[in-house]
Amino acid sequence: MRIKKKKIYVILIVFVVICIISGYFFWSSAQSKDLLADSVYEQLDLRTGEEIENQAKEETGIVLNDSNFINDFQMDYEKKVQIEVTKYNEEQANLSITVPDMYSILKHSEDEQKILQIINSENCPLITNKIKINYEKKDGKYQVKENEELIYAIFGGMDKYFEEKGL
Amino acid sequence: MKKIICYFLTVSLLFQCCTLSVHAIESEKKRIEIYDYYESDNKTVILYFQDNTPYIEPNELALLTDYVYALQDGKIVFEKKSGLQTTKRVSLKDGKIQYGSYKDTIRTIDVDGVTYIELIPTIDYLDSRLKMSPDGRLILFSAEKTFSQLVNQVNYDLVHGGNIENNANNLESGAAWLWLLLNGKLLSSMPGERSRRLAFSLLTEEDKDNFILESNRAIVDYASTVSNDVSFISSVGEMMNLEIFDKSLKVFGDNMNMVTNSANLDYEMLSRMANIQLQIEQLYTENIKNVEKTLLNPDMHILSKTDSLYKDLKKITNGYNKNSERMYQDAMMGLYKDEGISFIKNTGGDIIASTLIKIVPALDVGLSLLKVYGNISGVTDGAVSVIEQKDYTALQSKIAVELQKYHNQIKKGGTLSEEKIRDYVELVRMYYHVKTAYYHMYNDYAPDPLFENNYLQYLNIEKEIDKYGHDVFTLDIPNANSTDINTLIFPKIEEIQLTQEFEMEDFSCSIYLPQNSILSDYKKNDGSTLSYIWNYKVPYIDKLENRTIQIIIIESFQPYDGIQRNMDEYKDLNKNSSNGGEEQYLGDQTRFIRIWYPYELFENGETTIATIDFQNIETKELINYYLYISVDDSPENIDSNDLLFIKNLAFKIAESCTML
Repeated sequence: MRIKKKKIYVILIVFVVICIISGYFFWSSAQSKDLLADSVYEQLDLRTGEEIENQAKEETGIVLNDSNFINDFQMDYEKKVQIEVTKYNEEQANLSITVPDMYSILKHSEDEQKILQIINSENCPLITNKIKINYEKKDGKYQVKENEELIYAIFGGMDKYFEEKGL
Repeated sequence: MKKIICYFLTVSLLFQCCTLSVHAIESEKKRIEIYDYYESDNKTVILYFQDNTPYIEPNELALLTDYVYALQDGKIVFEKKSGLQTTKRVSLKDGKIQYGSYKDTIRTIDVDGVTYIELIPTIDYLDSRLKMSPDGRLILFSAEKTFSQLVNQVNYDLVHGGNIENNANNLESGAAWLWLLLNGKLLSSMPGERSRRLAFSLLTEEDKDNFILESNRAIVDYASTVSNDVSFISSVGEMMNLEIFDKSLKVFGDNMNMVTNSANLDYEMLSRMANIQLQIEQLYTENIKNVEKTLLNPDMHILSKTDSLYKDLKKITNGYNKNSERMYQDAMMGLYKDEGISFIKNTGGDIIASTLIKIVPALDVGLSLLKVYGNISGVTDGAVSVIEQKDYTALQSKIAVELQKYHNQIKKGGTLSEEKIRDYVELVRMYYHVKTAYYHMYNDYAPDPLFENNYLQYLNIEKEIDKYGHDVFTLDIPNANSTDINTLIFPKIEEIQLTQEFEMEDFSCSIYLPQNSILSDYKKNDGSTLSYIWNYKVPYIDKLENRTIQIIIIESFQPYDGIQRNMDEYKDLNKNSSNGGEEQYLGDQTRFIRIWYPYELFENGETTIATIDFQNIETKELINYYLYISVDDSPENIDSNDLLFIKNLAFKIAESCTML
């Protein structure tokens, strides 16, 4: 009876240890994936948009007829960007990047306000691209090697639209 | 006791009255001469002094500083214009002047119903400063191009015409900005092998006029730095008939004597040597400084230290001595080494000229090595140059997006700090410089008048920024290097006594110039031609659209005795007969010069109003001038601004005159 109990304890301990180890690896892997994804966000300046208050027009100062479009776009667009690391090894990672479908949006309109309006709407068209990236890990930090494929994936088909425009 | 108190009070009151009257005496209206530093011209202004404080009429200050002045809802508003567009606004109300976050208290006084405002610090708010020159002259520094004008120009160019890729200039602004954003991101993915060429392209400048001369000089310099071995010079003698390339041949001969052995010499190596040599020679200090302050400045967020372009730029700029404007020898050797060319003393004997001719047959017909290999950009085919366009576009786009951040800041706060203005101007220079470098590269590959014109056009914009410098643009900040009234002396000049009264009739103005006077700054060529050009900045330009300004200068041979005598004749002259000046005779007594200018000539708010050629007129004969100025329009369309304009113009011309 005692031997049986001992066996049960041993099996239980082994099970717990396995759970802890696999849990650690799972957590560590998830954390690495997050860190890698964060590096992509950071390197491509995808979290830089800041709220600019639309102040009442100053009566004095430099008169500049200009919008905050780039800043507004970056802020709204970044909220919609989803980068997921699906697979990785020591040098390479597979990314799944979901972003607004800029090709369709630009086809619809090139106007600043309309672009922002569509991106902010619930029906904003999205597109998912799966790409491979190379990276290095130095001092615990990931350095992603940027290439055109990655940038085009992040900007959801803008390149295709401009190519059609002869650019 | 009462008597004593009364006596004391009486004396005190009298003393007070006397003091007041002394103060009253200290009030004085003076005509002051100021030297305009940027226009290289003397200007006269009328100032009102009260207790040694100078005051000025707002419209006079506006004219002096090239601002437009208006009264709006009880406020004095000064506006800076660029063409018809307002670029900066400064207001003055209830004794407070304001420009963005800058404010000051300003005193105003009324004299005979005319409002005068304190000259200092008001003038500092209008992109201008007053300083004394070492020789005691009062100098006006009034920015020819202001920071607000530069910002508006750049803001327009970013999406309307400044882009390298012309098609991008035709996109709607939303798409245009996204195109810039996308291309800017591509900068970090530029392959290393292309960045070196882009780096040199950004750092060099070709002085077209001195190119050949400079290259020859460079070659001689280079020969002295690389080698003291002159053995090759003797073999150059074999080819003295090939005079075009004698110097270049000498240098390459010197260098080649140092290459491992002559068997290593080939067309490819010679080409690379010639390219490096030319690139080093054409490094331009202004471009190097500009790169250091922008692309190599981490605060600008354009390049990161891991970018290949950053590394290449850093390597070249670190090896450049700004004082001698030459590369350090070690750095230069490093560049050769990077290209696989090593200099080791050749022990196998001299390279003789015939060796070179064998490698490069073109030398035999008299072409110089530089002619054969001289290709500053190193671009060798069309496909490569198209790919390289992407690199220039990516860099310019990244800069455009960063410039836009400054514009957002301007919109938020209205003004930038002195340091930020300096950074902004550097970034603007780099924005235009990328386009200059691009056309330079492209024109080297495929010489074309269109590319060359574009290259020269953008080179001029850069040179303009270099000419103005940061100090002019920081005049935007009122308290930067501000005018110190305690250091100023206001030299009074003798009042010009206009012999006749100033009259305003309908919407025209007529004025007699001083008797026996002559235009002060006339130019005399060969003792026979006298001419004078009035450069006058025109305020209220928007009011003058579609109107005609007529200026008539009448010169009589005898004292003028009545304003109305010939006026109708002058007015009835056919206006379409001349567009630039005309001399006619009216009887034996009088002749006149009439200048008629349509509105179009006043574009950008500044033009030469009149060029008056006194050819064939003997100076001694000039006795009287009569000046008549009018604006063609129906009287109901004329407002006080128009009248003010005409009056100012008339006075401006009158001020140009001095007594003989």
